Parts: sequence; structure tokens; C-alpha cells
Amino acid sequence: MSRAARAGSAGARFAGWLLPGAVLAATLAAWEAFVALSGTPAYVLPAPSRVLRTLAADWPVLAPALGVTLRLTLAGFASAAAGGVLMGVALTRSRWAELAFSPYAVILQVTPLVAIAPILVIYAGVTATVYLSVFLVAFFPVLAATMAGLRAADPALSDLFRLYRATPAQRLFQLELPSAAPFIAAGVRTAGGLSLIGAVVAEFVAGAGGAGSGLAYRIVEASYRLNVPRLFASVLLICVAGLLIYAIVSVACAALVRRWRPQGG
Amino acid sequence: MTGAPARPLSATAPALVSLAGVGKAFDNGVVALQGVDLAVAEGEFLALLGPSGCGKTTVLRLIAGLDEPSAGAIAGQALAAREGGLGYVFQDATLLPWANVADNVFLPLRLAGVARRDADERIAAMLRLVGIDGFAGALPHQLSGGMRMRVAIARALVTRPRLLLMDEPFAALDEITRFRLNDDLLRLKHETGCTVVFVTHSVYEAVYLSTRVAVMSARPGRILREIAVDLPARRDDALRRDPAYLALCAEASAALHAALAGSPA
Ligand SMILES: Nc1ncnc2c1ncn2[C@@H]1O[C@H](COP(=O)(O)OP(=O)(O)O)[C@@H](O)[C@H]1O
Ligand SMILES: [Mg+2]
Repeated sequence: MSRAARAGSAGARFAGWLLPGAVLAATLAAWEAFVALSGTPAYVLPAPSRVLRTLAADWPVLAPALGVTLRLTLAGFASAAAGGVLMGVALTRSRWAELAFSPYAVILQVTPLVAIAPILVIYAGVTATVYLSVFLVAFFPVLAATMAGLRAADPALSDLFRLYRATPAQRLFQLELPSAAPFIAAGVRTAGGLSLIGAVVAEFVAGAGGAGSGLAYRIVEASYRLNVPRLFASVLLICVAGLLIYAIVSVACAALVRRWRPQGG
Repeated sequence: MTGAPARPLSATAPALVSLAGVGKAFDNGVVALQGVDLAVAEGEFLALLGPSGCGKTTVLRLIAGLDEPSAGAIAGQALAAREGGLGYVFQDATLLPWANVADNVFLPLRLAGVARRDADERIAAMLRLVGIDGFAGALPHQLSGGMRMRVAIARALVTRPRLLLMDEPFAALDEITRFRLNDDLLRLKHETGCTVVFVTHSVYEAVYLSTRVAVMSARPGRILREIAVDLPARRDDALRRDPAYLALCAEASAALHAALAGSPA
């Protein structure tokens, strides 16, 4: 994408859409033809057209499930982004706070979510587990990026603020946070990609417990019932949801970077 | 005038800042300065000349209160504590990359709690003074190196400081730009009446600008020689070929070579 943008020509940008589109169309056509010609039954491999028809037919079941997953993902992601930035600010204000809490941030990060989720389900219930799981996977990248960014302020500018007797608040809001903005944007972008994974993992774990109505739960359910067309339709929806989150986060982060690192690079 | 002047060369005015037996050793064991005696007289243009790494920047940082001496005493440091008493121009322009020219010049006032609308006139006057009016809305990365340095000078002067500290501000600029900024700086000093301490490793720049040159020894730095620059206050390009100017340059150059003699290159 960035290479196409650098080339700057409309042709390159067109090719950036046209070529993947052509690959997709060719793959789908081959898939459709293979299923039709070989007579493969839909419970083994549904044709793309069948998947789309199932998506339309099962929309009353799948749409609410998608809504639940998206809502919890976005809520967990937003809390993690806000919490990561706040915690990053707090930990860089005090050496003691950093010493006391950083090990736990690392422990949370290195412990696989799939291992924690069953514990969460017992105490927090399904909905809260999905929300907390998203929070757990999205929090650390934002925290780490914020801390790195706050420390990356130009030392000469830092001296300048000292020279003019800037208050801690002035230093934070007029120097450190603006310097950290591109870092925070990168951390938030990573967190955005992880958050849907967090939601899906939690729903898988919670779904095995028998409750829940998120999209991943519908995947587990369809898989148990060997409802393969619906399985494919659900995966397609999850994929679209992931792309949507990626697009929203990318646009927001690009705006953040443009504002606070105008020279680029 | 009261009392006997400590130093014949600064006999014309009382000292604004004076260093007596100042030493500076860093935590890593580097002894940057040892026994520095230096008095900065009100109204003078003092050039601090020395080989790179001899502690010139350290002297400025000590005067500004950005570092504490490990030996000796500095009188007049209170200047730094008094709001707006001191301006500092770093080797790089050191501007906020996300703020436009006017906002960058506004920074010292903003940190002092001045409202923007009360500062507008002063900012405009500063931009005129340094010759960049018309670029108030430009971002730093849109400016040339010379113009960025003009913004940094405007920012340093916006508080109307009594003392302006400049650390090799023109070292990174091409010669034509440097000559123009030299002339503009002399005009600025005239118009504002501030005292200037100007660090450079260029003999020609030191003599062209200053009323006095202090030559520093190689590390650990101390003041090796002081040379009074008895040239007319009005200086222009013709001076660069003036025999009196060239003789002073030769004298400063010899002192600089003496500073380097006996120290590894
Ligand atoms: N914060 C620091 N910690 C350790 N050594 C330093 C520090 N700042 C400067 N120095 C060392 O002190 C010496 C003088 O530095 P400096 O004042 O920057 O020299 P100059 O400005 O004349 O080139 C150099 O050898 C430099 O490496
Ligand atoms: Mg230096």
C-alpha cells in the first residue's frame, strides 16, 4: 500500500485494488467451478454462492451475533486504549510506580489468553470474559508504546521546557504526549488487530461452557452440527469485521500521526 | 561603577554572570571543565572559542542552570531562575515539529502563563525582527535550516532576555546563510541590547561577531586566553578583508592551536 502511495500515480493506486480483486475473482470462480464439476456436497465444501445464500438466509441469527462480538470488541479495545495511555502516563511519572507494576504488565502479556480465559469465565461470566479478554490482549501494546513514546521526547526540547520552568502538566501535555502520539498510534493499531482475536478466543472458551451468543460461538456451534455452509458464512463475517476494525483504526491512527508528526518518517 | 573590576577586559561594565574556579565532572568520570574563570559583562558579545569536546556546551548549560557545577561557584545564575531573564539557542533549532512558527515562538510565553491574544503583537514583532514575517503559519519541516534557526532565535528573544546564550547555532548552515545570519544577529543584538555568549569553533565567526573572544583549552576545558576585539561596532562584509580583523583572527587561531597542542587529536 505504501509503495503504491509513494508511486503516487493513479495507475499504481488502481492496480493496488485491481490486482487483489482479480486474484479474488479468479479464486472464487475456480472454487465455484470445482464444487459444481466435482459434485462435492455442501457439508464437505460449500461453493461461494452457497456461502452467500447461507449468509443471507441465516442473517437473523448471525447479525445479532456479529453485533454482540463487535460491541464487546470495541468496548474492550476502547477501554484498553484509554487505560494503556493512562497507565503509561502514570508509570512514567514515578520511578516507584514503574518498579512496582511493570513486572505484572509483562506477566499479563506473556501468559497466553487461552490459558486465562477459562478462569475468567468461572468468575466473570461470558460477557465480561469476552470484554476482559479483549482488554487484556489490547492493553499491553498500548501501554508499552505509550511508555516508549513519552520517553522519546527530544532531550533538547526537554531542556527548553526546563529552562522556561514548565510545570509537570505543561511538560506532559505540550511536550511528552505530542511526542508520544505516533508511538501511541502504532500501539493502538497493533491492539486493534489483536482485540478481535481476543474476543474470538474468549467466545470459543466460553462457548464450550454452553452459553454466549457472539459470532465465534456460532462458529463453534455450526462446527459441532456440521453446518459447514454456516461455518463458512460466519468466518466470512468475522473476516469482514476484522477488516472493518483495521480500517477504522488505521484511518484514526493516520490522522493522529499526521497531526503530531507532520514531517512524516 | 563600583569596585575594582575583576578582569581588565570586562572593565567597562559590571559582570552579569561570573564563573569562579568552576569544574564539572560527569557521572561517567569525564572531567569536562576544570578551573574555569569567566566573567560576562553586561552588554558585551562574548565568543567562546574552543576545539570540539572541550566543554563549551557544558559552560552554557551551567550558566543556564541546566546543570550544576561540581566545583567552584557561579554568580548571576539567578538570571535563569528569573522568568524570561535568559534565552538559549541550541545547536539544532529544536522546534516543536507539530507547532507552526508562531506557536513555536509563543512557547516561552505560553509556559509563563501568557494568554495567546496578549502575545500576538509581540510574536509578530519578533518574526519581523528576525525576518520571517509571512511564515507564521508554516510548520518547521517546511522551512530551510537557516529559517528554522531564525525561528529559534525569535523564540529565545521573545521574553526579552538580558542574556542570550547561543551554542554553535550556525554550525550546520552553509556559508552564505551563516554570513547573513551573522549580520542579522549583530543587528538584533544592537536592537535588543541584550548580552550574548556565543559558542563557536570557527575563529572567523568568533572575531567577526564578538567584542571579546575567550579561547578554551582542550578537555578538561578552562579559559586559556581572552582577546579583546577592538573593531568598530558596525560590521559588514568589508570587515572580512580588513587587516585588523585578519590580525585578530590570526591571534585567536594561534591561541586555538596552542589549546590543541599537547592533546591527542
Ligand atoms: N551528560 C554527559 N555525560 C557524560 N559526559 C558528557 C556529558 N555531556 C558532555 N559530556 C562530555 O564532556 C565533554 C565536553 O562536552 P561539551 O561541553 O558538549 O563539549 P563541546 O560543546 O565543547 O563540544 C565531552 O567529552 C563530552 O563527551
Ligand atoms: Mg557543543
